[in-house]
Amino acid sequence: MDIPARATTLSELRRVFDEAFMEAVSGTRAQFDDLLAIRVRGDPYAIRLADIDGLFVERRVVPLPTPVPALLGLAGFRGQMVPVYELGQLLAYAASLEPPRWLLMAKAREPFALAFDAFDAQLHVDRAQLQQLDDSPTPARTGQTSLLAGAVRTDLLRPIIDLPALVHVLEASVAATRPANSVAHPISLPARSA
Amino acid sequence: MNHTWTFGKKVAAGFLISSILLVAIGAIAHQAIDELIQTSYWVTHTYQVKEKVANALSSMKDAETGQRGYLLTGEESYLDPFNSARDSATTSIRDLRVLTADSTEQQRRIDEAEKLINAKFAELKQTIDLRKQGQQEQALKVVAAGVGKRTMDDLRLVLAEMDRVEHDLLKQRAAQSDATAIRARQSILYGSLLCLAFATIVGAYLTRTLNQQIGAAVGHVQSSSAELQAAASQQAAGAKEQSGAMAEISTTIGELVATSRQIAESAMRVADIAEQTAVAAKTGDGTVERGQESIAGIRRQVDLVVDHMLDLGKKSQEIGAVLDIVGELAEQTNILAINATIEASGAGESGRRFAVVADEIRKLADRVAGATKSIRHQIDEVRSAVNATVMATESGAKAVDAGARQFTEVATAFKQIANMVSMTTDAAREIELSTKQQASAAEQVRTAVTDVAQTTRETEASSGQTLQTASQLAGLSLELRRLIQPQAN
Repeated sequence: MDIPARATTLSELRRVFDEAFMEAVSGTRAQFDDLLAIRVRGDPYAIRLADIDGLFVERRVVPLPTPVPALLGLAGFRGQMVPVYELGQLLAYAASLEPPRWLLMAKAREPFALAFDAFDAQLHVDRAQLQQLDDSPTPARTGQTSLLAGAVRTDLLRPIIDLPALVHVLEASVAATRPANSVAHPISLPARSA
Repeated sequence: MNHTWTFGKKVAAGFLISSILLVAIGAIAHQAIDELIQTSYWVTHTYQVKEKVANALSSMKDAETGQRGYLLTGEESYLDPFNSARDSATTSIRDLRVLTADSTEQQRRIDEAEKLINAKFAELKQTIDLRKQGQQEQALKVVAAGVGKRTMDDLRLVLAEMDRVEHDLLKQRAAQSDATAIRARQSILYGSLLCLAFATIVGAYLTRTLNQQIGAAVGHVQSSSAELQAAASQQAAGAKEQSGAMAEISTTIGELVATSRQIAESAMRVADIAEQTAVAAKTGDGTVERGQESIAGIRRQVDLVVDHMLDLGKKSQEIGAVLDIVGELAEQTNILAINATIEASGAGESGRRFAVVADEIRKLADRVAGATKSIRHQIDEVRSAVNATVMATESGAKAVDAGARQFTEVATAFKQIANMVSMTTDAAREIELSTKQQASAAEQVRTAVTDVAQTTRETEASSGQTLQTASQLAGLSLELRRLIQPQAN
């Protein structure tokens, strides 16, 4: 949890809070990226806030019989049922023994959610601080480096998950499980394995 | 000779046999000499008879000579030989009768000679008387008649026969004497040679036996002297070592005596200290009882502390529950702020100020969450401290209980110590007494050891003398061996 060093006392906290509303809204905000710092199997990752539609915690996921290992089931978000995929398995981690507590809605044509283990914080970082993956080692699986789009260094080096690329991979894997005459969207619910 | 005889017996036997031989030789010689003397006596006897015969004949010749001179001259002085011859002839006949008493033949011849002598002297006297009467012619006629001459011739024949007989006896006795002398000489010579041979044989035998027996005995004596010398040397060395050891023992016992006295003094001091310790142990017993009461008070206070700490732990758990709610609220607020930011970004320019609000709300939620975590961390530390304190307090309570039990044991131990100190006092007194007795006994032992050391020194001197005597004996035996065996070394 990122607690600013300058807000160590209550009066200082109050002053910083008030100054935030006293500043004019400037265009410099476009120079920053908002990122969600998360953890998958203990490894640090980041996801751009612009790639998601919402963050949720402890939503009930109803499991479904499916040939897709990463599909955990269905959950209700804002009045609609969406499939929930386990982000760790999509990043080539082994299946978790316990269901992930955190979920996020991805921005896509067909809504779907990604479940992950832990949420650390929201990061507001300068784009100049973003790094290329080639510059430094990442904790991502070797076969999924195409799902990462750079990295950000806070206290740790966090690879940034390329959510649009992940959507494409997911659509491809789901489509591979559908029958040839199916017209459903690729990442909507896959066909029953039977 | 028997081999089991002693050398003295053998020498005595040799001397006895030699003496017997000498006695035998002496006896033989004595007999021979006796026979020789006897023979010489008879030879002398024969010579005496012959001398007497000659004397008788000479007397008759003297009487006839005096008769003739008187007849011729008429001088009375010529009658002296006649007168002495008459006595001499009578003496000779008498001696001959005595000397030849063992021979009847000679006695017969003496009788015959005596008759003839008497007849001659009668004829001579007749003529002499006639001459005295002046009848010289008549006297000459008697002479001329030849009676006297025939008597004289007969007498010469008888005496010659006697002399011949005696001469034969003399030759016979001389031969007997020579034979006796030869036999005596041979007996003495052969006996002496036999005795010499026997003495030589016995001497050689005794010499050989002497060499063998005395040599063996001297050898034994020599070896025994060497063994005695070695034994005496060992005894001297042993006595010397024993003397040294006795001196060391005496010194050690002296040190033991001094140590025993020191122990006695120490035991006395130990007894005094034990009595003082007994008093202190009794005082400590009361102190321990008061300590037990204090520990019971501490135990009660510790129970109160444990109760308070358990209450504090419960309060901390309640605070933790409240913090869980606060943390949950902060997390939900953070999620709401993030979702608000997402929604604001989708609202375009109008949502930018809302995004600022949402961001600040998220920051506040972050701070609350951080503060909550900090508080939870501190609460956890407090709970850990409380748990540790409770554990430590319970350990302390257990330690206090153990201390109480140990104090009870200490009290019991103090009583036991007091009893044992009393026993120690008695034992120290007994040790003191025993050590004094031991010191006295050690003193006596030291005196005895000193006497033994003196005896050992005397033994050492005696062993030295024995060694010297053994050496002298070895030298004497060697010299004796050289005396009987010159080639010996």
